[in-house]
Amino acid sequence: MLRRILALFHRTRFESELDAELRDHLEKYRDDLASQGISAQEAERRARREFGRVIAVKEEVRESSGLAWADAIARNFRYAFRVLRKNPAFSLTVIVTLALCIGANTAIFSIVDAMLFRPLPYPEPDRLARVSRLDRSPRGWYEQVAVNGRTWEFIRDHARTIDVAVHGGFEGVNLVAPAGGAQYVRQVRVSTGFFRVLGVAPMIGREIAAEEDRSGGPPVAVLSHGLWARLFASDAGILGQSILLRGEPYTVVGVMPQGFDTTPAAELWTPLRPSTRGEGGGMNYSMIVRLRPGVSTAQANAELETLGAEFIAENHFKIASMRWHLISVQRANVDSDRGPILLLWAAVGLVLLIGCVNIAGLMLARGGARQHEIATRMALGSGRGGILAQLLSESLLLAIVGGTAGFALGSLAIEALKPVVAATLRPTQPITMDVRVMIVTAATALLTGLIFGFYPALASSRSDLLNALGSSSRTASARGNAWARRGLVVCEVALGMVLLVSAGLVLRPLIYLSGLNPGFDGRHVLTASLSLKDARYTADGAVNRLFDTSLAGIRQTPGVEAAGVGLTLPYERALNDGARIMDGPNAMTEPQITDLLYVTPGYFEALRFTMRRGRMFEEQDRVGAPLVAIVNEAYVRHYLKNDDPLGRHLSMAGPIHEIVGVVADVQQQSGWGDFGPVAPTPTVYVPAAQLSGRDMQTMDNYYSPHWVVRAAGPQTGIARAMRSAVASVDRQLPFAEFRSMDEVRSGAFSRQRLQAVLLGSLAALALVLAAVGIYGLVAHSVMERTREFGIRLALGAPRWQAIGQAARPGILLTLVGAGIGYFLAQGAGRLLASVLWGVQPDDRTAFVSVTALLVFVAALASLVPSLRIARLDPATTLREE
Amino acid sequence: MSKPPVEILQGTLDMLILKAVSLGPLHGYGILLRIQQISNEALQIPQGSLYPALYRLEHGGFITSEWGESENNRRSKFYELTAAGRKHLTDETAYWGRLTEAIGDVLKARPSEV
Repeated sequence: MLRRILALFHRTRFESELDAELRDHLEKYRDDLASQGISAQEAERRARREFGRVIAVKEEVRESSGLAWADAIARNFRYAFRVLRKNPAFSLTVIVTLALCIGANTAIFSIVDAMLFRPLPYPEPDRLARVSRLDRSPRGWYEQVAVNGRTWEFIRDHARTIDVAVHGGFEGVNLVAPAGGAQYVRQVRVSTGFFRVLGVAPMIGREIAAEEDRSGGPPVAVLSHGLWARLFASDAGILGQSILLRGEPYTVVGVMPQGFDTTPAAELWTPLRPSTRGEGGGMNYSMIVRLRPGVSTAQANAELETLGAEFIAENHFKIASMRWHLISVQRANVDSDRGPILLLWAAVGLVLLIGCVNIAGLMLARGGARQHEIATRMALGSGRGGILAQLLSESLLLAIVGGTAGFALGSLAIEALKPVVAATLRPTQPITMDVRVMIVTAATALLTGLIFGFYPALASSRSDLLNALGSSSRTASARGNAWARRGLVVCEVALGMVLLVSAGLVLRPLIYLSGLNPGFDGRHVLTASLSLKDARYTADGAVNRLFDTSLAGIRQTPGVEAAGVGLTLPYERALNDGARIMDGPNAMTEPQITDLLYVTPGYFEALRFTMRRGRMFEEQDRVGAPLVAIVNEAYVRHYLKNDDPLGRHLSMAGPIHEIVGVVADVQQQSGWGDFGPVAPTPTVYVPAAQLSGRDMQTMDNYYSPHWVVRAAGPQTGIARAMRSAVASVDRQLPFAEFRSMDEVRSGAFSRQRLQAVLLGSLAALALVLAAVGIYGLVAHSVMERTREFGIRLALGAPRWQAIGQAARPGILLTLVGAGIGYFLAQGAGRLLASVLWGVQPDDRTAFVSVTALLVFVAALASLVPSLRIARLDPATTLREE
Repeated sequence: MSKPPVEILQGTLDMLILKAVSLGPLHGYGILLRIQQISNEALQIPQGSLYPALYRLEHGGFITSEWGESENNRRSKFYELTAAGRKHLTDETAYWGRLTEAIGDVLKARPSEV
């Protein structure tokens, strides 16, 4: 097989040319003989005789033309194949080890590549960048990629070295196509020039024009290829048609080519109409820039630096430590996931290293066992180079087979990881096994082959001829090798310890988060949101009519226990707003930040919040009735302290609400403070029915309200009932996505889970590899010392003592490795703590349990092969040899 | 008039090939014929041993080869001397001259000259 592959590469052309040349020679000779009047038959005979056997000639030619090395390689590989087939246990161990390591590396690298390295799918992606703003804070430089309207306008009007555009964040909105049917689509608002900066022109039509990108400009939309195909049946006459977006008519002006997408991902783009007030007053825009032709990044940065200083002067900023500079788009997009991803990459590299160490140990052990064979071959005239080449061929062959298997394993792993990673890390590019990943895998496999093959090959080929040949094959195993092998086992235990401790440290925050008391009962609760960023829901009362009528319809469905609407959900991000306590000992002069959401009656009941004091919202809490509010315990703890909350008044930027109840805390994601991924954050609840239309619209612009419906038991058909109840009010309002509250809860720490699962798998792999390494070492030494143990047993040594002696080195080496690993792991822990939330680098529990696990596994791996001694028959052993 | 055939000496074939192609590009069979013709059929080269020598010389960079057309429109591989080959041939010729002279002197020696 290999020979054939080699022949294909090097030899086909050579052989066919040589054939042609020899044939030409023989024909010429025959012609000459024929012209001398010799019969064709006789000519043929003479040609044969005088030329000699063609095959022999060809063989000689090959040797004299420097092609011998190709033959030697093929021979080496053929021999290697035979040797490896004769030792299936060894070969399989190495191949499986390699396959697991390379598979893991392939899978993780595909994520790393998609997130960090693969160039963005736009022309000249290295000339694209984002503008970030650095502010000096007491804790160091604080980087922010978002910009506000004034920054945008200033850079747009003054920068000469870069072509600039700006866009907003992702918004889920309602789209009604002429063909009918309301759809929930992903919209991103972009400025004019956005597509030009990215370097991709619309497939048909044009991009957003300057006059459309200003307040009051005509509403237009550019569609993605996918949306165009799905909703408009790829109608080429789409341009100029009107679609209903957020309840308003928009004119389609362009369709982007297939495969084009942006960060954030979108199905359609509309004008951003940037301003310096409202939305533009905060850091709500992201800039994308392209270096103008001939401009370097350094030049553009220099200009931005100057512009930054002018901007500070013009706006009379007090702080003089603001700086603008360009950062890579990928870096900006990946943001805080970068550190964890790089750590994961390092972890999988560590696994590969352990695998290499393991295989090197196996090779060394076998090199020792093979010393007799090698010495024989050297005595028969093989040079050291030849032996070295032979042993390297074996390593390479293993690397190729193991690499191929690892590649297959990696592809499977990628398929399994793809949906989870896509949902959790939201990479801007697909996670696939592409050419880049393949090249890295192949390079890893081959490099691994060289690394693990080289040292053992060198050590084996340095064997002492006389010694090896003179002694019997068993005792010939070099003592020096034994020390090297012990060193390798210590290495892999130490590295394994680092991975295990890391996994333990990362697992702990996950355990903490999943063990948190949710504060509500999410069983049998279904939830779905719909976007009210809609022109038809701006008038006072329109939203509440929708809530009341749809909820009434849902409550009539058999099996529904309770139903309500709330702006946000537990375990998800809530709106941050200011509230001022008006009276009592903790009265505030300024509003203080809090989470705020409106809810309808039924929301607390559907989620089974626990009331601590006072009452829930009721139907009579409407416009005209006294304004009320409910706070949670965290709010009381944080702001009201020991004061009785009931009867106190909160000013919500104008309207004053009286606190009528206190609910128990639920877990939420906070956008402020130092609460971690989820925590009970101070929260104020207000009745949806008591909000003014304007306040409601503001809130609905940031978040899409969620319907929550509790069923009596596991039940289907609730989603259908919710849809039809909403459709009975408005046929053009599509729910975005139905989820159970359990899914909402587990989604809140999906990052922590993914990190823990990936790191945990790698650590498990490391543990297995370390166990295999220890097992191999002990098994080998038991085999080597069979005779010695036989003599001891014959002399009356108790079996348990012999077993203990055989197992001891494995356990001792583990303890040494664990000791070294302990210190390394502390460093790793500090590194983890610097990029991951909740990691305690001095987590005693993690360290102790991991060490215990490691020692237990090592003891097992040492004891199992040692038990062979229990079955040893001293008489037979002594008779052997 | 032809002399009786003689076997060529070990190591001289390369030199003969270089000499043959120094007179102009030749294909393998042509080289054979030319050596026989110049030596008046005295040197008989085993046909099979020509090719290993050719490939060895080509690998050593003394000759280069190119496919071309020979008589009867056949495609044949033609060999040509390189600069390195020409130098090699000169050196070898000089060396051969010294060698044969020395050997000749030895063989012609009479008792009185020793």
